[in-house]
Amino acid sequence: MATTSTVKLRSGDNEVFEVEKQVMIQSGTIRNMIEDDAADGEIPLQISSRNLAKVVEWCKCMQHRDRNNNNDNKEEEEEEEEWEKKFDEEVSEDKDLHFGLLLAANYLEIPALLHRLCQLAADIVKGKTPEEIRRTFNIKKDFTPEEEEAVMDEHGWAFHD
Amino acid sequence: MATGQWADLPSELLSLIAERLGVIDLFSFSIVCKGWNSAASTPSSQISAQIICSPNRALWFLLYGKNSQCFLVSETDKKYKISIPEMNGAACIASKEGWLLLHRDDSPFFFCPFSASKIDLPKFRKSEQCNVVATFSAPPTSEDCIVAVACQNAPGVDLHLLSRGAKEWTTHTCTHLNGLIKTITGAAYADNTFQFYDDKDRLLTFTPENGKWKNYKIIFGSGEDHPNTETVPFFLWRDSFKRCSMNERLGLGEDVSVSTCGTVVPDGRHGKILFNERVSQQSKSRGLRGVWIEPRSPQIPPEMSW
Repeated sequence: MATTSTVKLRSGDNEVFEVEKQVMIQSGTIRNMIEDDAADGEIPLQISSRNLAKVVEWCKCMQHRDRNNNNDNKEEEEEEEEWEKKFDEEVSEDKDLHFGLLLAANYLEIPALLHRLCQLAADIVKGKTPEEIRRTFNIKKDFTPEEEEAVMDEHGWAFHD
Repeated sequence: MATGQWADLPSELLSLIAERLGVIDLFSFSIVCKGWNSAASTPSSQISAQIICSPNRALWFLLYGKNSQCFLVSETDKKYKISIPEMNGAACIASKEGWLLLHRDDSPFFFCPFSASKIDLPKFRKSEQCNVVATFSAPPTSEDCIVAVACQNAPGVDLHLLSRGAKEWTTHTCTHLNGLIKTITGAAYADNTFQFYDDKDRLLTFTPENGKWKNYKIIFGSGEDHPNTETVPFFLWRDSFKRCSMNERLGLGEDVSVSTCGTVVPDGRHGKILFNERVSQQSKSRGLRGVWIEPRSPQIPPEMSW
């Protein structure tokens, strides 16, 4: 039997986060552990404390929003929108954070967060040339000249006037 | 966490990002590096999600003529010159979800100009001098896909059907229309039934399950005004080429003749049908063809054939 209303998450760098179960059941992975009564001790996660803190913060905000969905508190609503906007900006500008959160959201099975992060990544890609995308995400072109010629053959028409 | 890892993002996550891009951005995405390239061309298991959340609902227009030189115009009027050997000498008879159904002589095939995916279909015998209008029930990669090609001639309509995997077409003929159905210019599929709209106010339907033809007169107005009527599940869009000033947008002269192939677009609860059009001028200086197309890049699973 689960006795407490919180779960303890231990980050990869050994920081412990105590969070309400109600907040963390947004994560499929943690929800399963709670349902299997396997969440009474600390749950060790291969996620850095910085990324885990962000995930927890996000889950709290979403749970708060869902709970308040039915009341018409304009002020709180604006506050939440403001928070989400700040979250989007922070993630979009910090490629390490963005990358870490993508893996974390995928591992923890938080679909809403995963979709948000993928949408942000897609928004960053939009309107950029391949070279600009590489620069933005710090990616090295690893095609051989022959392979590059083949992909340009297929799609090159999109980049000529 | 060190940078330089975006290239190694798991492919299922890369695919989730790729799905949210329009075709041109998807090309850029696929040229970034090898990992991103293979993620962009992996057939997505979430195609249905993509259909629902795709922001790129606007239609593009593909203009083609007698050789392989084509023009694509995006919804924001960006023009792309593109050489497509598959379009050389072919005529497009249906367009849906990024897929074109084309035929060259008696050989029909599916083709997507964005992904260059192609699927050959068995040959069919088309009578000479008939009005050909076609559609398909689902994308050709779907197990449920049925292709329907209506060949309209003076006495009636021959409907050629081909189910996914079938080696031969089956033909269903509808005669005794007594001239009720004028020139068919639009086709769609809804509620297990193929629908063929004429250029006036008639609808001819065929349900493969029971082999039944029906024909309807379309009236405009709400159901309340007209009890005991059925509702057409589509918005009907005629004259899109003219209404969208495509002549001007394509930089074509006033004297150019164009015949267009329409498309069906899912659009909330009601989809919309863009009808085929013939914009003909008397001088007939150049006969061009065009087709409305959803800017999507559907992929074929490896080794898939019809």
